[in-house]
Amino acid sequence: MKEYKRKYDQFLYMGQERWLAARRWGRTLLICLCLCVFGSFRQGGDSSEYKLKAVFIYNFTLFVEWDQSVKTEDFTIGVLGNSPIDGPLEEIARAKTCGGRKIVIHHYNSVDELTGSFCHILFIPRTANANVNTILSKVSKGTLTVSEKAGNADRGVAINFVIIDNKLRFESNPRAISSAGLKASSQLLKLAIIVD
Amino acid sequence: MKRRLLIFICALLISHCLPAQDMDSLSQLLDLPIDKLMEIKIYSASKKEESVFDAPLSSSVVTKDQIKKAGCTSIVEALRLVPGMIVQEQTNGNYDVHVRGVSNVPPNALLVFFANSTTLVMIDNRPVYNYLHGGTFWETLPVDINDVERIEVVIGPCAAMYGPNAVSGVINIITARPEHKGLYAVVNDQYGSYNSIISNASLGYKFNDKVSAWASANFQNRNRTQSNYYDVVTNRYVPIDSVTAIRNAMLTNPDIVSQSYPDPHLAMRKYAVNGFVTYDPKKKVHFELAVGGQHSQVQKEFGTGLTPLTTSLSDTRYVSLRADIYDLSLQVSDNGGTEAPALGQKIWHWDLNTMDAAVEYNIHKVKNLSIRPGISYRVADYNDSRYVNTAIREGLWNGDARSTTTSASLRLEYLMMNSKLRLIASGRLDKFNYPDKLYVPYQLAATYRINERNLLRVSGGTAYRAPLLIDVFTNLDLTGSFPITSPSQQYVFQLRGNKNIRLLSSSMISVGYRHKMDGKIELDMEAFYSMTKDFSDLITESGKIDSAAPISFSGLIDINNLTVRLQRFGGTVSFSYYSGKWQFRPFVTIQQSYLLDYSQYTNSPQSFPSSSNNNNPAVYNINSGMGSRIGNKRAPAYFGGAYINYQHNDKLNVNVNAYFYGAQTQLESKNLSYKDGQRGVENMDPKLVLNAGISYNILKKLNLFANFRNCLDDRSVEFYKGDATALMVFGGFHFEL
Repeated sequence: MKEYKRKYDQFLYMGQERWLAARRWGRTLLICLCLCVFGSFRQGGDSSEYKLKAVFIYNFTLFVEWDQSVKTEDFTIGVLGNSPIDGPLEEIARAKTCGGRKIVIHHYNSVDELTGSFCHILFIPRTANANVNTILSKVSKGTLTVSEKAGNADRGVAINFVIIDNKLRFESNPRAISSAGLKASSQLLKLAIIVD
Repeated sequence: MKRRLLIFICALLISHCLPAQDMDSLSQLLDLPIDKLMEIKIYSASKKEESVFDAPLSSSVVTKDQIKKAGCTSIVEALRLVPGMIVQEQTNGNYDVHVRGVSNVPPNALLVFFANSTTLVMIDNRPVYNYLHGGTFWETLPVDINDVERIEVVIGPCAAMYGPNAVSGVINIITARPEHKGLYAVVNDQYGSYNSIISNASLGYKFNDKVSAWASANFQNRNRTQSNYYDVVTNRYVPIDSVTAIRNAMLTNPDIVSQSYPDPHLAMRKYAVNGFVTYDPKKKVHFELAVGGQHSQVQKEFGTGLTPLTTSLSDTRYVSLRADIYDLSLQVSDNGGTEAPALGQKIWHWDLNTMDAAVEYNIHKVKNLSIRPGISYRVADYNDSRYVNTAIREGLWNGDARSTTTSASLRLEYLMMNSKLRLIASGRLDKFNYPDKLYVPYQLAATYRINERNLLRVSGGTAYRAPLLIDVFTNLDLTGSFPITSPSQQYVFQLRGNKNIRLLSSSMISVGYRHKMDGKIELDMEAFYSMTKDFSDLITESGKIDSAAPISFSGLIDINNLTVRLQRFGGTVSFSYYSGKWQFRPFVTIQQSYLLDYSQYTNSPQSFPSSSNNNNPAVYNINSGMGSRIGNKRAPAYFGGAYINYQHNDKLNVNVNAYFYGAQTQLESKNLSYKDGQRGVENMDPKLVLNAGISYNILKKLNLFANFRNCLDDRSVEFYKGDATALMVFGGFHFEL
């Protein structure tokens, strides 16, 4: 026990300066960490997964034809509830247009807000607080529905994101696309996992 | 002060510049065609973390990307990136791994019992821990860092979900698959200090979406960081032929050094090959075949009386088949070969064969209820009859040591309150041949998703360690003479296993909270309380001394349960911050543990009087500690690490990672023989192991890197009488086609 105490004292003595230096560095690191965290809180942000999903959604606008009879000034992408996709979509809306039309991001706080409202694309997050059938029943004709939950394409969502081998893929339900009055290019359907 | 101010300002700038970097990567993505977008791997662990976020138990994942960027040189070293793990180096590349510190209990045991015997280690769900003592011979794993896709760790008793031995946790090493159609090749070579050579190569072909085939090979050579060995008699590190026990052994066997320590400079030399074929004939149908073999020679802490270090040899091969057919999962694996964990000593040499078969079936949801029943069968067969004279019981078991496990399991999962509340109940029936008793581990867990960013969880359960062959089947006569004091007189120790031993069990309750914000910030906090009991050790049952007879001493030692219980409580906090080019992931575990009813005396009341029981076995025996409660310093009170990565651009990556632990004291059986507080005792000071790695892509597929391990060159030992650790510098390349 004495030997243990002696070794411990020796360690404390010999390592005192190193320990103090480590504490100083630790404190600096902690401050830096807090600043970076503060920065993230201040700015908000998105993960790479949702960045990619947002870019996919933008790409869908290039491969899907909307009914020309629906005359709208802007191209509207709706998001149901809160999702990390908000940030990237807003960025894309600022940077890109769709067929010369301004892209507008519209947030729906609840399913009821969908009634009587039109958007070209509706993104349904996996955390959406409603049954997908209820959501689909409220969506206007002419809307391309996009979700991210297993089995949703089977349930009638037009496009559903899935992750396979750490890569983003999408399922497509051609029947849901055509019943919405939309036309998807064969190029897009070739890349999709077709769900009947 | 100026320097710190500069860092402060830099951090402030970085924190403000991060969103701009996000924008850049988003604009790059917008320039890519959709088919190229589909080839992008989802950066960061967000998907993994997402699944970890919902996990009902304490879970962590370390990915291939993190392992590579951190510059880990082996799978075991990568476990230092996982919260809740205690990973301590014995010799260059050889580690002791404990999950949250059920280590060195009972204290004062033989070194062979220091190994972590309570963790289920698997490769692609195939158990690979050693049935001898429940520990894992890490060097015998046929896969290496190149083969790893990710390592999943579950902490806490979870035998009900994963099978026997998942008492302190589960480590599941998931291997990588070819990522694209056509030719697939990965080569990773590095060379470093102490002649450390680590080579990995994989070559394969993905024919189409249905069929892939590939092979991998790995080689490691590492020299020790010192040449001397610990001599317990003199309490010094000396050349191997000066170790007192070796010098005594040389009196009867002059070749003991060349037989037991053929390469004193060598810490590790191992090589392995693996072959994999996958076949996916249709959606939801998947077949996977893996075969391989390995040879390894290491010097690690096993402890057999000569020195703590022994040379351990192993040659094994395996075959594993997995089939997922819709809701049915089937896995069959076989592993066989030879092992000699203490080369040159007949006791520690055997052939082994283990077979595992498991079937599980997912019953489709009945409303919100999921049901997953399963059955499994396991045989572990170790046989030493080829290497010893069984008639005089020279070997550890002198014949067949065969343990069988037949199990049935059931997992129920019920979703309530619009899927916000998830209830999970798992139970299992384990029937072993020895001990011949039915064991019922169970687990209850619940998660409540407050909203998409916050989750509460609670879990509790009891798990049992698998029967250890050394506990159950030991059947050895240790004979010899007293070469110096009285060479004509013989002694006999009969060492016997115990077929009725109670299996070690652990019960734990844990409460956790997880928070995530916009995929950038994640916080995982957990508090736990656990009680572990039914430890086992060698117990001296009886002995006779007759100095006039040719056999002057005969004694019976068996393996039996101890009264000691380990009470632990504490918590783990991990924090993750991912943004643009930066990743921060610090984590720490703080714990307090107590030994209840601990007796340092490992003799029964009927044993013979000796100095180890103060010549009064009736008073000083295995029951003497009843009612006591002492603080346990065998495991560190705090430990953890940090992972900090900066990806400057597509080419340059810089990583700093740290691992630290608090003071701990390990006590080996020699502590009770010498009682001088030095011999048999290892006082380990608090330690910070700081590592760094820098890598640069000189071509799209070719990466050059340099790794620095233990940058502070802290040479303090990390394990009982182990080698001094040293600063290691590695340089190498990674090529991926």
